[in-house]
Amino acid sequence: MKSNLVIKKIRKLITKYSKATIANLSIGITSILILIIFSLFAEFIAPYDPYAISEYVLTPPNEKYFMGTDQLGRDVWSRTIHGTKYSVSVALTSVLLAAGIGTVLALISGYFGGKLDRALVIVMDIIYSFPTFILALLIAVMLGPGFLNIAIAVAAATIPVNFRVVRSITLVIKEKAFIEGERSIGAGDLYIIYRHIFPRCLSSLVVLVSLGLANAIMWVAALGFLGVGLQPPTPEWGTDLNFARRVLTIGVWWASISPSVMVILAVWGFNLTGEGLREVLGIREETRL
Amino acid sequence: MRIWKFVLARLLLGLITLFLLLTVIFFTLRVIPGDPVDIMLAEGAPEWVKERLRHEWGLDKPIYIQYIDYLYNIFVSQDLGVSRWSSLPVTDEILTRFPTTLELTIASMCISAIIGIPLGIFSAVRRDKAADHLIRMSSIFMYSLPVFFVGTVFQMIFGVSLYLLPIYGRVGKDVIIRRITGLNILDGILTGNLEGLSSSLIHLILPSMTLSLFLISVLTRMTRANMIEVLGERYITTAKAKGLPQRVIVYKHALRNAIIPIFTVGMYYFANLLGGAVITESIFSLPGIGRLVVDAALRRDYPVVQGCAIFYALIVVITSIIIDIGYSILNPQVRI
Repeated sequence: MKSNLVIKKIRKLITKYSKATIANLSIGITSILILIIFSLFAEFIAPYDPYAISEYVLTPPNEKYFMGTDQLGRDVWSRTIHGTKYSVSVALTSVLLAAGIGTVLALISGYFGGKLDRALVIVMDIIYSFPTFILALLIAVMLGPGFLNIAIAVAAATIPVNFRVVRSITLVIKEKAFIEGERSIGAGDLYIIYRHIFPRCLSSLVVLVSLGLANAIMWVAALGFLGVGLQPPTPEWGTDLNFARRVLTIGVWWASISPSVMVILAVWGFNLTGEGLREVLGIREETRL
Repeated sequence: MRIWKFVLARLLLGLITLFLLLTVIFFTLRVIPGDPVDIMLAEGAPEWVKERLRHEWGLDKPIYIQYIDYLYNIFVSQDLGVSRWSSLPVTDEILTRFPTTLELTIASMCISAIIGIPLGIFSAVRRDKAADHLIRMSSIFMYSLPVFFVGTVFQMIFGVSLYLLPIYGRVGKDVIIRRITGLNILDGILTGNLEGLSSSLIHLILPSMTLSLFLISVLTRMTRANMIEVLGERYITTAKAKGLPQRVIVYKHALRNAIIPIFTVGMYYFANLLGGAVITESIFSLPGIGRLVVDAALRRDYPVVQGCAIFYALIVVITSIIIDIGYSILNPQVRI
């Protein structure tokens, strides 16, 4: 009985949204599932220890080493699988930080207005106008390598996007008549923000978080690639690609393949999910990074 | 007369923004942990050496004096200090490298506009047909390709395998271009140096393609969304009712209005492309400003980092002024 209902609901969903949206969402969610499985069960999926050095240096892919080995004889495929949890968790931390700080600031700023609001808008606009990747890079270098530092660097550069979106929603909702009504029966400001305004920002935030994750994964890998991200021997994708790049010109292509594919899969997956959710939740184009 | 008033007001606002940016940069660089003196010197350097360096760099002064010195040097003496690594003036370091980045950025903006805008128009006209879906899907995919991946793949395919295009540097080894502006292509034309011109163009193909892939997909999506919006307007229906050919409606009536936001976004991405340029320059060994920033940041060469940040701030302010003035020219409604 119940499964029938579920099938009906899914069928309804499929007819309601365009085929493209459904395709986007299903590819996106599938790749996110792969990421989750890889990060949770890396120990069981990966055939070798990602840090184990062996004498089989730069072996091309074969039945023993699915994706070959790198300069230190480490299994590339195992490192890529273990890398998932580093990339995803740094990205997730940074996105949650950025969304959290951005949302709280925006709710306060948009709701209360006044001088604080004006000051915050100016500061956010300034950060927003600066080339954001360079900003993240500079902060990352200054703070030094480390899990939390990289997350902070990426977050700091992306707070303004979250701030802008949430603030604009807050500004619209706070003028609505029912907020006035709430206030007249004695509801406090914080209660109104928490109960009425924040929930109405959630659907935009979901899209922002999804697109933000795509962006953060890309940036974390890019920082690693430039040598200022997570440091070796951490099997982070970008860091591994930086290492693999050195032997690329002598014909060792296999060490670069699987980390690249995983970065693309992750970024693509979160972008598709974000786009799909945007259409399903009916949010306009402003939530762009 | 009125447009001049607007420009003047915009310049003033730009100056204020620049001032705020400079302040943020100054305090950020000093709040961040890591003593530059400790990093410059080997471990266990005697205390008096450290003291002397601190004094030499003005780090022993109170922070507000440092701040005043900093603003004075930028605005009055236009001096960004001396690199602690190469001992060259920071302004020189930046100005010798900026043309490389500028050339790369302009080239990729042109490529993106030439490919992205027509694709977007095509996609909008064929809305919800197979071609539209294909273009949208592939633009999200392209948007998701990291610059470092695209660059490396281009190098492998066109450089290493096919041996068609050079994969690093700005010009061939034995080509010399007399420096006038620093923009190799422009200099090649100005000096009538055909060999230099062709060599620079060939060297620019792969890096600019790499950098533009991202902007192509952004412009395609933007153009499509704007065209669809404009094509739904009433005056388009009127134009159709008048019996105008599709080509005239799309290119003359619709595009003219759709192009305004595309211009704004495109210019906004100009500043952001400079960020992508960091990675591109690193892959293709281009001596641009992005490389300078990364190297300086790794060496904690504060004057250079700070100088580059100031320089980026200047670019950001200038582009935003260009955006606003361009916007007011393109769209008569906002002309004040």
